[in-house]
Amino acid sequence: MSKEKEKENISRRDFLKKSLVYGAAGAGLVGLAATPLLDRDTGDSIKDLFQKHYTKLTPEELRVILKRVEEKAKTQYGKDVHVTDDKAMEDVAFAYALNLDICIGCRKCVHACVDENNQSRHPEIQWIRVLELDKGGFNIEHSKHDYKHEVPQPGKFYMPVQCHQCENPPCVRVCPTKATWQEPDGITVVDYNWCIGCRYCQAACPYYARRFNFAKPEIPTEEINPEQAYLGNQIRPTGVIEKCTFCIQRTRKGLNPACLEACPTGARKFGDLNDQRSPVRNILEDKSVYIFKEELGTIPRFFYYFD
Amino acid sequence: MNKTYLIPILLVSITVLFLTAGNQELFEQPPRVHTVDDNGEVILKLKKADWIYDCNDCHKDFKVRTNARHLVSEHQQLRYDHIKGEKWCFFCHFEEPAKRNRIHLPEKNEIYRGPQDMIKLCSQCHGKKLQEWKTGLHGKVTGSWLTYGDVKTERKTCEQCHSPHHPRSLPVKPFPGPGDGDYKKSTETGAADNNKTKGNGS
Repeated sequence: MSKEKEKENISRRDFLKKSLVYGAAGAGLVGLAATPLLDRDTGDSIKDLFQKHYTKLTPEELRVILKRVEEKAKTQYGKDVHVTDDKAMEDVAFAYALNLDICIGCRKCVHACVDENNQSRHPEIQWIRVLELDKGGFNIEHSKHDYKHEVPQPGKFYMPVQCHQCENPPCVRVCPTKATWQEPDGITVVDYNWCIGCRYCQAACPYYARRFNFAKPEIPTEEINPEQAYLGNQIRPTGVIEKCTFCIQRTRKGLNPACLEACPTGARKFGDLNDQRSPVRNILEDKSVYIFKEELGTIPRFFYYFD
Repeated sequence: MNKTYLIPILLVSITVLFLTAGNQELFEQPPRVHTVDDNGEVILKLKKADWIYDCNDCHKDFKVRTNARHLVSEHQQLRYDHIKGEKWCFFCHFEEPAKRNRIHLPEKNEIYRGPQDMIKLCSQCHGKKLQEWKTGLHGKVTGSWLTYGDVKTERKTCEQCHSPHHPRSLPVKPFPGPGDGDYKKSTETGAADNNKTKGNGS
């Protein structure tokens, strides 16, 4: 180029003035761009970021975390909740059995679960999914889960599917942060403060048992279940995975899961496999038991049986 | 009542039953009230709207006809589907009009004294189911999964889930499924009746 601008030697004073002005303007713009973070609804506090892994927490630290969860529920949903953390009972191996001859597909278990475990209403999350299959086989590919007609239909049978709490779980294997693991009593749990929301576990699960929170869960305040467990039905923040925990807040206290209580036909049976008198054990010994997707080797703790 | 009215009445009552089927509870309980008299026997009374009446009020005037037939003038809400064709009302109910409000056990001719006798009555034919019910395999065991210690489990007796007159339940409308955007509160699922799902840790 013919006309070349002479490169001026900028003076120190000018440099400082310009850098301050541009720096301030730049910082202001960055701050402006970051204002959405102020009203972020992820529900996390900075302290959540710095907590240790659940398995390394001391009881004191755990208590502080539980308190923080309770406060979060109070500020965000306006509900006084009581978050506990019961440890697994000794020598207990939970199992669930479901009678496919009796289930009528009414979906009362689905909604009892939604109610008990504080699942988001909008966007809708349902941990249990009931499949309607044709009698005479297990043709899963042609099953329906969105039926609206009266149940039970002739020629069909119904199979509710929820987390099977597998002994060889693919979801635990693929988790990059070890946010999900299996507890000694057999329940696979998720630490919602540790989960980064990558959804690898959701992809790995062959039963489509895991659900992801795409948005902040919306639950009407009066319907929130205040008895919560840290690894169970505490109200989840955005961007974490959740799933059936065999109602860990109930079963670790000796109660039945909510789905069992709701089932009008008594098709669901829950118990401890190590207990000789448990009906679940009788079922495994005497009835014809079907394991869903047995060939994948997940060794589930959820058994379907026929009379 | 002559025979020309038989079929229209039957059609109307069946239609009404089907129309109301979706709104029924899953297990229709016959409208009855139990009272216990001085001997410890259970007396059945029927309830129609607010009127509680004794079976004897009507049956003391009627002739006893034991042939199996369609009931057209009364008891039309009754769907009788149990051992149809072989057994009829008098398998469980007494024939004598004065004792219509009592139930007898067919084999031993004892009198029904309450829900514990219902188990005796039903298990005379359904013995296998009784064995399974005792171990918790049949029916629902609410309250706790523990089988030892001081646990409070509730068992329902036969007639609390299965109506003696029509044990098979009618089809029901299912609750909303995935993507329907609706949900039901625990009071509607029935889970609230059993030990309260909302955190009743004991």
